[in-house]
Amino acid sequence: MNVEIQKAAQAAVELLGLVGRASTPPVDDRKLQIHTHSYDAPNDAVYPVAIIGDAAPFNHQEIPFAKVHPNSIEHFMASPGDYQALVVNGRDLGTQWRGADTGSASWKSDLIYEACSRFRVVGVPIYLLQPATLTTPFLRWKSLATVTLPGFNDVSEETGNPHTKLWNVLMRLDDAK
Amino acid sequence: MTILGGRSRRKLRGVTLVVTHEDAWTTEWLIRQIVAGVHNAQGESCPISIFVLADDNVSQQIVNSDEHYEIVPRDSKVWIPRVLAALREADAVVVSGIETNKVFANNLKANLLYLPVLVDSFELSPHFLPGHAADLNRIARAAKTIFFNSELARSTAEYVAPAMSERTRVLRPGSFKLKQKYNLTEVVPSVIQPVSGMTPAVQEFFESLHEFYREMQNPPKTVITGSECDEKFFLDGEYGDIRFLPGIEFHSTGDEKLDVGPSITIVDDVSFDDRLVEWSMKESIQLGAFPLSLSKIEKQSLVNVLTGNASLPTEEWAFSIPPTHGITLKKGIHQALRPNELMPGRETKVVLAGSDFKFASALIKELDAASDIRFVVDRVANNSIVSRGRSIALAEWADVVVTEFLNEQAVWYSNNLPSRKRLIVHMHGFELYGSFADRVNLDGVDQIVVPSDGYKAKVVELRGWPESKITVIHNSGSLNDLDRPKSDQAKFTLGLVGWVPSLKRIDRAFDLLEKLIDVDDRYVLEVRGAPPWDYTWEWNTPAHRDTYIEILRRLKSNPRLAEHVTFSPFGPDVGNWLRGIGWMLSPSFRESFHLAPVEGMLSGAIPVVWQREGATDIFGSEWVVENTAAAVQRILATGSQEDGWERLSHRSATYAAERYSDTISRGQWHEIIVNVENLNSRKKEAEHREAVTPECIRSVQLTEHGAFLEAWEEIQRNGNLALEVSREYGLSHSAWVRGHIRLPNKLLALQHRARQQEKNAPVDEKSILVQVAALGRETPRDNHGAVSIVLLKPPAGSPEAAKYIPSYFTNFQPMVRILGPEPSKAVTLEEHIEVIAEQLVQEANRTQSYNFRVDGPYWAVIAALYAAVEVAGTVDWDLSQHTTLNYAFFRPNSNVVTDDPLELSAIVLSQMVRRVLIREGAEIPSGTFEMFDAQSIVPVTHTYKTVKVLELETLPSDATEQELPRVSIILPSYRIDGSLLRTLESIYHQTYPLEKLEVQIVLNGQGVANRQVVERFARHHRGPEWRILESGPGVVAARNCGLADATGEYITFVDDDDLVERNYVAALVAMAASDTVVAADMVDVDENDSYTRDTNAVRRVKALGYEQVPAYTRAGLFGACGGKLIPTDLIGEHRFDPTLSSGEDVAFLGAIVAQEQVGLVAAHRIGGAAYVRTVSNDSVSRPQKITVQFGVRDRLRVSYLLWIGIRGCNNDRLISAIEQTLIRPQINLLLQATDSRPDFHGHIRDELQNYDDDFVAFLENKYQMAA
Repeated sequence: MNVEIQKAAQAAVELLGLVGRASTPPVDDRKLQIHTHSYDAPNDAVYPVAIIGDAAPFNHQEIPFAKVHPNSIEHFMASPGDYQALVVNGRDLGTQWRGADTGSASWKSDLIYEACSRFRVVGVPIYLLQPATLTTPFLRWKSLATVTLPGFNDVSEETGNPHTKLWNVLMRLDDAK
Repeated sequence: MTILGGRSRRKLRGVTLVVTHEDAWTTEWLIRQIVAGVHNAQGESCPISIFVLADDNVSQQIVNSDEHYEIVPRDSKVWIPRVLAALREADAVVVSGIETNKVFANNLKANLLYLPVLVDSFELSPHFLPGHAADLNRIARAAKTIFFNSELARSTAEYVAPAMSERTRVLRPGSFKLKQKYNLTEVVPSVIQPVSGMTPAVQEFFESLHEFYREMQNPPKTVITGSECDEKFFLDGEYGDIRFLPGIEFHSTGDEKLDVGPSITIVDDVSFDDRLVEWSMKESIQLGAFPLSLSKIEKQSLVNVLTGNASLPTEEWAFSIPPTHGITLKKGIHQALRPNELMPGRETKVVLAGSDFKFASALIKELDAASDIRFVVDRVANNSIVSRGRSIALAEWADVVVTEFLNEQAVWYSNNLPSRKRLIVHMHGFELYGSFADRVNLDGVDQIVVPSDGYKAKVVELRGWPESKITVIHNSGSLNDLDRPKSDQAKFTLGLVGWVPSLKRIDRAFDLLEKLIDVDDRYVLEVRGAPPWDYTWEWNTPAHRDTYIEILRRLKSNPRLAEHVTFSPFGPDVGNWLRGIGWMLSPSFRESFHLAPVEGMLSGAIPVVWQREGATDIFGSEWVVENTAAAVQRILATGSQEDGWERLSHRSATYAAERYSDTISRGQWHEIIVNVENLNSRKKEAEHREAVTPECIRSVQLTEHGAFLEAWEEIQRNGNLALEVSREYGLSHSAWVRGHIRLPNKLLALQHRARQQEKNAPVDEKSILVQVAALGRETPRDNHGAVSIVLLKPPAGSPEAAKYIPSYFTNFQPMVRILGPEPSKAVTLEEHIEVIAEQLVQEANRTQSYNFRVDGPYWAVIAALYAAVEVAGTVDWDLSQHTTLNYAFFRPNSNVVTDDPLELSAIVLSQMVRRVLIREGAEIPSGTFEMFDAQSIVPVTHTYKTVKVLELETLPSDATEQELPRVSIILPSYRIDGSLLRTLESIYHQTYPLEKLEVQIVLNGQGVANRQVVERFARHHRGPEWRILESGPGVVAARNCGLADATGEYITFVDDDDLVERNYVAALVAMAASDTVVAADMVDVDENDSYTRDTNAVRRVKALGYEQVPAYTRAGLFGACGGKLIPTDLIGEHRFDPTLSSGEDVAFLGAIVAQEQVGLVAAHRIGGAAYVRTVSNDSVSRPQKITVQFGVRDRLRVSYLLWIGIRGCNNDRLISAIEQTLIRPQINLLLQATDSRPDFHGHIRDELQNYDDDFVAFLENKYQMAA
């Protein structure tokens, strides 16, 4: 028998070993520390947005958020999975983070980078609002950001899915730029 | 069947049963099921040989000791050679015992039908670990069907061993038969407890026994026993007090102290499931005791038995499990053996080609089972690959090739399979929109199999493929696998299989659950499948990720919801999982079939399918709900009825079984494979394909455009569901790329429609000129007599979109219609085209003109083609003006369809466009347009009219003039001569709707005497509202008079010796806004009618570009009132200063410029929109004589008025701009005047006496006036 036919016959035997859904290739567990269910006591469960920089655009938007201070950031980095997202408002870093983008306070820049890294590892999205003028710190943060605004952010309209309030606010911010 | 087998072509020689002896009851049960005989498909019985692997004394324990079986020692060195020898004469082997099966799975003869029976309670063993998965997987892969004795055992095996999927069966429990060997004359009862602790039922039983025993002096002994059973065994339980009952003893089975063994055991079939009951029963038999059913025993009668007053009613109390579920081993073997009817002398050789076979379960099973089919597999790594060497060999060998999915292999076989052989293509969903469908050679395909009628209709509609070539075979599920008993909680459990990609719409399931638990807390949702963050392609798409974040946020913010939702990892054991599911949800936004709810229905779950395209075709209207609210209503209403869920479940299962059982689809597959020749004969002229010629394979030519390439690869990998594009490419806007991906199907459908139309329509030379609203294209210089001109908004992501300024173009409506949606990433290219096409149809109907002359790129042509097909019109592609721009993105030399959507677009376009218009004498680059018929390329001559204005013959009749603002033109005139009439003429010929114009002709000076001339002109030129006014002398008085009379929203000033071009007002209004001054070009014309267009004023306006800027930043443009459109509100009560005889414009405009919020924008760049200033020695703005009034008073006054405007202002930039740009020239003029007239110094000093000290100080500080 032709060797190709033999191989094809063996392929048939192998195919018969896994039929139907069993033939679906496995999806690897990426070991992201994302949980659908919180360990919090039911009434304490919150899922805030961690914001580095000015949080004023998020006031009165029905978005629970927590402002990240350079001296409190360790607390956020310890449990990044507790947060819905990390927003780095590079357009206005506010007084507390002043210098993080210019090199005058490089330690703050490093903290932001480290925070982005920790949040990214556990799969929490990082939204970076970047100013018109980019500096090296921004480029570092950008390398870890899930979404950079303004930028190309495909909004798929073909699923009709609802987006988060945060997303909608960010998109409005982007549009208004 | 595989070609390695060939077993069904011979008479079935025999079946061998190998029983690993664990307990006598099981061994007996297995033997008894098979010993009566097994038949092959032809009804012929075949010999059976039975081996029992056991110790020597086992025969005494086996009740059916008279049956024919051979006991073989467990030692593998003994039994393996013995059994293998027997297997030489067998075609099937049934093997019990997990350890024995491990041996078989590893050493199986390839052509042996292998049927493992795993009934040795492995699932109950505390030592059973997932580590056994490898063994179970190996067994499953080698086996045809695996038999279990309980759902628990089956589920456990399926959970740890994916290969078990779809091939497990549960055996029907055996009923116990009374045999004479039991000595029941001296009855010692026992109870068997399989788990630690006493059950309430047994507790109650003994307590009631005690009621009888209490009356007795010597209560009968009652032994409570079980393996490893002692008193402590029961002490652990809640009912430990039972040990204090009289007559109770505890003994382990095999306990030496048990002098008199129990003769009956009481099996708690009230508390335990079938599996544990069976275990108890087997333990009882091991003890030599007779098992009685606790549920059947009458206690008083038992006491009578125990006290010797009655005999044991063994028949009545005998344990049995009602045979409601499972199959007998004999039937299971028959099903596994069942071949399809053999067609004498005929065997079909089938090649199954593909890479992904998850939807091919029924097909594969049928290929394997059919006795008249031999099949091999041409397997490749993904859908884009062909293994040519192998495929060539297989094409020679095969009678029929079936490709799973319309993939590259389908394309290859359609071109290379010899015509005497048959090709069947099994399509599923996304291929309809992919390039393979474009490239497959339909003549080389005999049948296309699709999963639903709706999908078939779509194929016919979009592809135009003949219906006769398309057969519907539904995706299906295996009833044998899915029909399992439901758990009690199932009716309150909603199931969802898969929540990736996001169009699976888990949010709808959440909405539903939230509503349900508001009413009934028992409802829960089970979600099955890998989480989205494990699918990189999905998780890395920001917008999609955000929708999942919303899901997580929702769960975390709503603990009550979270409490009712459980996520289970993916596993192939869907049948097992479905045991707990009563409602199967299908909330997807889009599905081509959706197998999961069908599987759910076959399991008895009730489907809840959200309305979507094609849902009713597949599921029937009964199972489709309009929305979430309807789903809530459905579930609650069902739950509120007694047996409501059960009745609906039955109906659902019946519905699915009648349509989607794999027994049906297997039969259909068999039919189509063996009869494909009769279904559809391929074209006989394809004889040249007799020889397989690999050279004819054309490599896939992907476009160089990176975004398309990436998108295309993505669509191959993940179907159209997951299509996203990279952000690395500059032009890879999703809407643009995705639109292209979808475009080919639309084009093919369009072409199909066009071909069905009659082509005899007369050529209509009346055209609609279609252009693109993009800078650099906006000025039509030659309209070829078009009845209408429309501009198309460019689609998002297109090169033209970057040159589309919405305010620039859209404000210009309705003078020129701007069609299409705003470029938006939410609107894909093909959607954009469709919207434009609809509006073009309206335009055609409005103008009664059905030829579209498109001066635009290919997408604009396609939009026109859509419209033309709709109105049975024609399309000319006008390349005469913007040749390069128009075919920049076009594939002008395509002649072969590849999977580049642009190439397909190019080909369709070339086939459908009536004419290509090129400029006469223009050179066409070599190779360009070779795809066009030479006769269709028509040179056109441009007349290049000298008109500078937009040639609109008429305004659209339904134009919304009322939305246009009213404009007041203030025209002071101090004399009446030909020049005024020329000015009036130029106003009268404005393209702006004349009804929206009012003209304040303010006669002053000598002009008053000639009022009648103006009135006559007004009478003969109806349209604008001519308002003839009279004022005192001087242009300032005249303008103020006009201002007082003006009612327009905007004001523009025209001098009586100047002209305005036809588009002047329109171009100004196009850019107007309530806080913005619009500046037009100001060109000069001298008395000889010689134009100077490159003036400083024009350059300044051009320098504005297309951006709006703060007016003060261009204060230099505010030296003269002409050529400005000023919002009336900005002027308010402000007026020209009556003391001024010069510089009144600067002073007047300066006050407006000094308002910080006022913006400045250039007029629309359309041609013919300039303010034409007549250069005349008489012009008031160009005084030649220097007087004190001009040189001193007016300069100081103007400076003062400007200074007033900025006094108190905090905007340093504004102050600086006014100072430098407006005040300083005044001061410079003043200083220049003093240079020529030193006596002016005194006049200055005198004049300054009249001004504020602050102003004087300002002049001193700022301009060193003191010096």
